[in-house]
Amino acid sequence: MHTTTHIGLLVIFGVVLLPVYVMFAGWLVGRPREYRTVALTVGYMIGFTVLIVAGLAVTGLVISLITTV
Amino acid sequence: MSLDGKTGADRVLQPLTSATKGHFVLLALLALGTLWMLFAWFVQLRGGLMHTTSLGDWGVSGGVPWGLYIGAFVWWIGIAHGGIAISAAVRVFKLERFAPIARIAEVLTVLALGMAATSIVFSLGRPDRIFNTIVQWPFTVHHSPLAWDIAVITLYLVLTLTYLTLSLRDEIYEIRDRLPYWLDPIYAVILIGYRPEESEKVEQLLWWLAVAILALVPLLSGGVVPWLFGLIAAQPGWFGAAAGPSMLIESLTSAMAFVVVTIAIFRFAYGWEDFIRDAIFRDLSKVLALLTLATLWFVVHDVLTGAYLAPHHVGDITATMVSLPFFWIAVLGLGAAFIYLVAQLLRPSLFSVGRLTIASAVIAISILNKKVMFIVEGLMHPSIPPLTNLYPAGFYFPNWVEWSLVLGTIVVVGLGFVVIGKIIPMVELEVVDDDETTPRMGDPPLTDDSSEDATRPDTEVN
Repeated sequence: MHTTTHIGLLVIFGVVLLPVYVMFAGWLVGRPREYRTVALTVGYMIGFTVLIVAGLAVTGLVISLITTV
Repeated sequence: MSLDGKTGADRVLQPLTSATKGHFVLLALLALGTLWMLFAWFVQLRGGLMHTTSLGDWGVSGGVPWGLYIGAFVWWIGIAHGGIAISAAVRVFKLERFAPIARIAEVLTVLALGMAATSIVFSLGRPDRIFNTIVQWPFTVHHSPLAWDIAVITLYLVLTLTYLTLSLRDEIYEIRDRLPYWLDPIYAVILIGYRPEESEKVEQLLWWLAVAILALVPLLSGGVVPWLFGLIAAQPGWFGAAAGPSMLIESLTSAMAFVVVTIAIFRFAYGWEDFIRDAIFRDLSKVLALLTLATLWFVVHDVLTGAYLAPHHVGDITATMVSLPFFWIAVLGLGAAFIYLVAQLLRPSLFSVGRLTIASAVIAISILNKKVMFIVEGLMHPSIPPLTNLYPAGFYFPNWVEWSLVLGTIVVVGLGFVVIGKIIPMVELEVVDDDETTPRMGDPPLTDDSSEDATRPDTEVN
């Protein structure tokens, strides 16, 4: 294992996601403190993520039909 | 209320409820362009990437594996940042003057990110395996900048879509009875769990979302995307710590230019001169001038460090770069546009939205050109064995399939705007109805008068 190049988790979870951690903290502790809308927003985020991942799966599937037929 | 009895909201909602002949003509042309792109993609999928395009493999064909598609990918990523960054800046830094263009800018980001991802798919030899990038992500994230890239682009798209959805909820709720009923399923998704009393909390959520999005701009366009290239030591044109800042500036420049072109088209198409006033274009032109200058400044750095006693492999790539007509076309485009931007700032009579739009289009295209050259030259001149011995310097020029696909992405963005413009209001209704400084149709024009800017309360603050 090449240790100097295995820094991906640090890059993603330690640096790039910092603004997202701050955003979540702001949502949770900022006023007005109301968690229902926060939960709804997180639901949207999860929904969009699922949509993107599923869209990628469908894209791959459709392309495989075109390339193999 | 305007002379023809229409409020600002009426005029912003008009595209949602009625369509002109021009709209259908534009829709048809864009749909035809999209069909042509799909045809070219079909040809590529059936024939195979290497066989159909001029993206040859290393060694045997003496070409490059990455070309126009990856250049377009980097270009679209940069453009995506300009849109949402303007919208986020309106919220975080209270740049209310730009509020009328915020929604258009947000939609541009969503479309541009989509086209960035599409450009990647175009560039894959086996695009049917695209889902493997997700399946293998837990194993590749440790060492692959490509995996970081996938994560951050997905994150950025999710944040942007969430931002757009949240910012629409109040508005859609208020005007739902005026919206096309056949689009109800879309509005129902936007309004899931809606309660009128949520507005204050939603505003707070949006503020923090805007902060995160703004912070992610340098981390993506100046970080993860440049790291795809800057971390690779085998390519002298790519490797280096300056790749991040240089690419960030280029990205912001092309983004700002694309935003100008987009809002100019909207303003022209819908006659929104009184919402999207000349003052907005003047302010954007100042930012664009500064960014274009910074882009040219990085070009000077590139050339000087590559030409002055550089290691031979860096010297080679620089010599090739300055010998290519495309390099000088890009420099000429950026330089000419910069001269115009400065001239119209010094002499306001030279300003016109049409000229600014042309200058912005030239800047955006010049940066696409520059990005493609950056990708190609880096691959043509590797400096570390065994890559150095694989092949002699090759040749690359995109063929009709590549041009069709990349130009097609621009057409799809146009089509996306035409379609989305029929679903949601493209200017926030709050801006056109509540802003007392916004004149209605028939009021005396406030355009083309820079002295008016000085009297506006928001000018000095921002």
